[in-house]
Amino acid sequence: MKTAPLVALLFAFTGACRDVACLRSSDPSCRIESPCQRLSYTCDSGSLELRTIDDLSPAPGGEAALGRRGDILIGNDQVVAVVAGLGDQNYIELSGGSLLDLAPRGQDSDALNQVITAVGVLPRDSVFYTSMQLLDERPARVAIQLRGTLYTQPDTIVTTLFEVRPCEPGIRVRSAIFNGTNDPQAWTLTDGWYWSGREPLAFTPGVGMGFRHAAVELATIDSAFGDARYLAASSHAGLPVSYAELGCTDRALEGFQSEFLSSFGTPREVMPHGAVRDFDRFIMTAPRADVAATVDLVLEARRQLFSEPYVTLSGTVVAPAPPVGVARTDQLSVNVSMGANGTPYEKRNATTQVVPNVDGTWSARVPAGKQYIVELDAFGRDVSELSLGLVNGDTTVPPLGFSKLERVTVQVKDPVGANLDATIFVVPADDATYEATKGDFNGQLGLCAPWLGPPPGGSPACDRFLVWHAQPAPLAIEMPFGRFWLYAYHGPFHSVSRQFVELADGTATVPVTFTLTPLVLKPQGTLSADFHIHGQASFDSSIPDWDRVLSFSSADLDVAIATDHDVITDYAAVAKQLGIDSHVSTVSGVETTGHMPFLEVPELLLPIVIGHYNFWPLRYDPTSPRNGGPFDELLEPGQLFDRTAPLFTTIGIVELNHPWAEPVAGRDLGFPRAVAISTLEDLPADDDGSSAGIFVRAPDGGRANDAHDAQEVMNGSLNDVLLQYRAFWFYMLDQGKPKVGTANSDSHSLVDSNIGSPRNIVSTTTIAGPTFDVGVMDQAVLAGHTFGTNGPIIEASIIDAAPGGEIELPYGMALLTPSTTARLRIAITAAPWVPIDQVRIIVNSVEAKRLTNVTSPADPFGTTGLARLTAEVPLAELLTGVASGKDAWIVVEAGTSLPLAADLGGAKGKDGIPDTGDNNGDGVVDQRDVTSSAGYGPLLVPAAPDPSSPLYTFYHVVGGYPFAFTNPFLLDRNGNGRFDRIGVR
Amino acid sequence: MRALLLLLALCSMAHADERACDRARSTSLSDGPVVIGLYDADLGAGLSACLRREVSLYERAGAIYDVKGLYGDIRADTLLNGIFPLGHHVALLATIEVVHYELVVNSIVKAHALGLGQSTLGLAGRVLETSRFALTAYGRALVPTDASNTTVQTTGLDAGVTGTFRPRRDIELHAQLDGDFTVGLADGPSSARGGATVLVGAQYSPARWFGVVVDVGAMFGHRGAFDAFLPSLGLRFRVWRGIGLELDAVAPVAGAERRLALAALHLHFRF
Repeated sequence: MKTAPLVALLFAFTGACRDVACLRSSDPSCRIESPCQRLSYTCDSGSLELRTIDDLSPAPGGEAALGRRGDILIGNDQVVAVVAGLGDQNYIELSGGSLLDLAPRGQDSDALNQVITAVGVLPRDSVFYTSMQLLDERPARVAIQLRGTLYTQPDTIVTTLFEVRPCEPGIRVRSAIFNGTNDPQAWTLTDGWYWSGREPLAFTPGVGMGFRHAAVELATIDSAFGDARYLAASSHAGLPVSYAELGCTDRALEGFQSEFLSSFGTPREVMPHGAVRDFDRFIMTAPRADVAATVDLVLEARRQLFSEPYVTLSGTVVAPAPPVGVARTDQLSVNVSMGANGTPYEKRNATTQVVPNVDGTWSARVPAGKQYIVELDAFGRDVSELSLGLVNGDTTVPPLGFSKLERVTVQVKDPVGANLDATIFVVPADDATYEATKGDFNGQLGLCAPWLGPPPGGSPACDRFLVWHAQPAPLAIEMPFGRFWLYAYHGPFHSVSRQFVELADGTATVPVTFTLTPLVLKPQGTLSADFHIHGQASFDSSIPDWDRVLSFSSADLDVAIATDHDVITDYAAVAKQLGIDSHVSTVSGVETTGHMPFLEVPELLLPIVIGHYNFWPLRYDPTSPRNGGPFDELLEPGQLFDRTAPLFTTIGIVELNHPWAEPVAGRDLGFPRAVAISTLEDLPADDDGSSAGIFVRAPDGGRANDAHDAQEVMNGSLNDVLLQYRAFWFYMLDQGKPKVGTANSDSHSLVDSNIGSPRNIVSTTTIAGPTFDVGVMDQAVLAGHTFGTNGPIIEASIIDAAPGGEIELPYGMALLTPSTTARLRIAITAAPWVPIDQVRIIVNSVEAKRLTNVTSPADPFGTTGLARLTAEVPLAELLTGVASGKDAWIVVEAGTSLPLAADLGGAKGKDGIPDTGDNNGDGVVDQRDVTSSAGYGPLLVPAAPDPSSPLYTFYHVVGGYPFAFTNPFLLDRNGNGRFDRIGVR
Repeated sequence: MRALLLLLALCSMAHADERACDRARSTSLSDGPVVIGLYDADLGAGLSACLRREVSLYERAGAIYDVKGLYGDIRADTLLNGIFPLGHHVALLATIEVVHYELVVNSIVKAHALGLGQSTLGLAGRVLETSRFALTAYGRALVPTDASNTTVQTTGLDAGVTGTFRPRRDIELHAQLDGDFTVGLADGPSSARGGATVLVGAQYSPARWFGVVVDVGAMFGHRGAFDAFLPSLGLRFRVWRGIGLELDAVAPVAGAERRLALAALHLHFRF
């Protein structure tokens, strides 16, 4: 067969194809062709910068800034960006090479978590880069050239070029992929924008779109893909910044948008063996908190690329001037969409959105030759709109007005007249006000009534705001017209006060002063601490540090542990600036957050991540990746514990967070749920190949996967998953593996959960302030000398006979061997606004006794009636259901009755964890309550109580329902020196 | 080898006046190996050593279903195939995927391709024919007519020999050896790959209107050193004068090949 000439001919053909993306060769001399070559920008003083970040040349700042030593800074006179250095793992990539930071030059306003190149939505679809070159070709360009493969698919080749030229408002990017696998692949070569919630919101032009997007679920994400001419986003908190991306070769690209993740790239396509796909794009940024700032840039770029003409709309918003020092963020917003007069909202083609300047002026570019509708949103509501008809040239829009605003000034004082830090909750006093003031941000960020500011941002946020004790003048807040109750709150050890305001004038300023009284509630020798707190450094939080730290003091917290996702934060400097460091101590920690599913679990289709763990205290090192936090991907919990142990600065604590939380965006949040533990079966002694075996095994022979010190029993202010966490904590106690139970807010903003609700009351000898010793506090926590609460205060001990009198035995991790005549002594107190109607004593997972003779003060705003119950119960009575010689544990709970719930299913069938509530309100939990497609669930958040309910005030300042629990009394009844397994029932 | 030559000589001597390709129950009944083909158009597909003038239309479908790998691929092609003798010993071979459809699910992203698919053009020449044995050599070139994707144009060729031995009119033994090579033309690295397929099989035709064929093949070099064993089954029917119907299935086992199975339904017209 004389095929050689033909083969040679075929290779000649192959050689004739251009290798614009250096896919054929890893030769360092190969240069990926510049993307977006039809774009051109000029200016008088262009400049370029390209360097590896080191300790002496800091990286750009911003709420989401991640650039650290070893990362690559690339920029020009307009923008500055950071690309992760090879080996610097961040969030949803493993190798480095992702776009970590992007901000306008000189602004330090990065709000970008990460942009990764990928071909799909699972981690295995992301790119693993193995080589990086810095190309310094000044004055023409600077660039970073990367080469790698898809993670887990070594037969592929991916190259990416980040290129910056002088004068340009963004960064040019070219990526290309070669399918060297044997099979055809379904790929979209795309940029994955990892927002992760409470961060910039994606905006895409289109009918019924803009900021509004169809709900995205991982399993059905394919159906969420749609065409998009460009992608834009802007910040809603902190420093203003706007982002946009457009393709340079295709007029429309494809993707999906959500508050967690956006995908913007080439259309999904079948790529056979040998196929190559190129993706050229331009990613821009501008220093404004609206999408118009970068949509303007997009339209200029599209004019150059595709000859699409644009025009400029300009106008004025007539509204009362904001108070001095108050910068409106999204309180006023002009939305521009294509549509004729009368086009219903859902049929309008969203085009851009602009926040007016302080003087009310605004302008925005839009495509020429279309009909437009301009609408004004004020305080979360559409208040006016204009139809412009066909727009063929630059147009001045008639003024848009909003005047129904009034100013309220607020002060909060203690009984001697000193200012207090506090949180003010604004509650509509009637249904009409609720309806007239409820709002959101273009359908996003949650519904608030009234809507005072973006919920993820600083104060005011949603329906609340913070008051600082050192405010030079009474705090001035803008509020829409209506009748409101204002509630002032300063934590569970103070009274709550409320004031009524009616706002209908618009010209006056309404002064409001609150007095909050300290209540003798916090037990002597205790600290109140929140072990789980997020701020703007977390990828799913935007709350500025100032507001975050002020919220610690406004909730009267003694100790705040910063546990941002995958990054260490230090709030000490801000606490000092706020003048609260004398009574609030901050500690640096981290919440390790698995992003890359890797762990195979029997009977589960998809691999899992190990969920979230808190570690504290850790050393804050701002020059290191993750500020010194551990690399936490592809590790089992035991391996992660081993890796992090050397990072503790003193006695450290490992806390299992929200053990049974539902996965978010396909990522598991709690390890026990991720491996699908069944609490109906005992844990094996070691790895037996089952899910439970994975849970208990020591993967490297070091620490075991279940070797955490503490577990969250309460997480979040709503208490909506308390029953599940409580059930798992009880299960571990029954298994003879007691863990310290904790109660944390897991707050990410001023709205999602209130700092310190719930919190831990730790009996310790250290005190908050300059002498605070976290090691001493941690010793007490490890000893279990702490209880969790969102209001009720429990003092409980076992009173036993001792030589010369009686001895008081505390609860905790130490084994107790009380005599048969010992008694459990309980004292319950609480602020008047905390309703309590029962105290439960749990023995070995069973409610052994319920005390209901609990008193409640009539006036929730009073300062008396704190003592609710004192009781003594013989241990013998509590242990009647426990077999002789069998160990036992006792936990005391106080609060209102628990919601009705039952176990109707689980990942592998019933697992003993409550998953379904009485959702139809018929008093029983059965299949009729199931509304989830999973065949069980959900556990719904209890509905808001009506004003006549004793829960009404508590609900508005804390949320959920009152609950407190002690750590266990561990009774070594057989005296063998161990706490033995009790076993499942 | 000596035994094979002896066998050929014996066959030749026994029926010097009759050709092997005429020894069939019916000329409307398909013969030769099962014709499915695991690659574009009919590259690497079975070919009968008896080259009859025929046009056939067939539908072919195959699937990869890899739950653990979160991968799925369903491919369906409508192919038009023709064999046109040019004189007594040579025939022109042509195949085109009139409709190519492919649905790929990768992780949770789906994509599909629909359009004109790949084509082959080739020549076959009868090397040897005796009363009971025929041997044909062939070569086919893959023509990159695929319009369903713009990311690569794949071309290539295959070449091989196919033989048939017919000891009785109702029994045919056949074998085929094929080597193929393809290369993708794109703005990227060379994506050349190739391999070999060898098969043996038998057809039993108990009636003029029906035959059943069983083949066993082995494929090498495409995805790994050893791709798969290819047990295949075909049911062949004579429908009417010159018109036949064939239902085929092949299920790769062992080796590196990921496809679960392929099936095809042929309608051919011999004239």
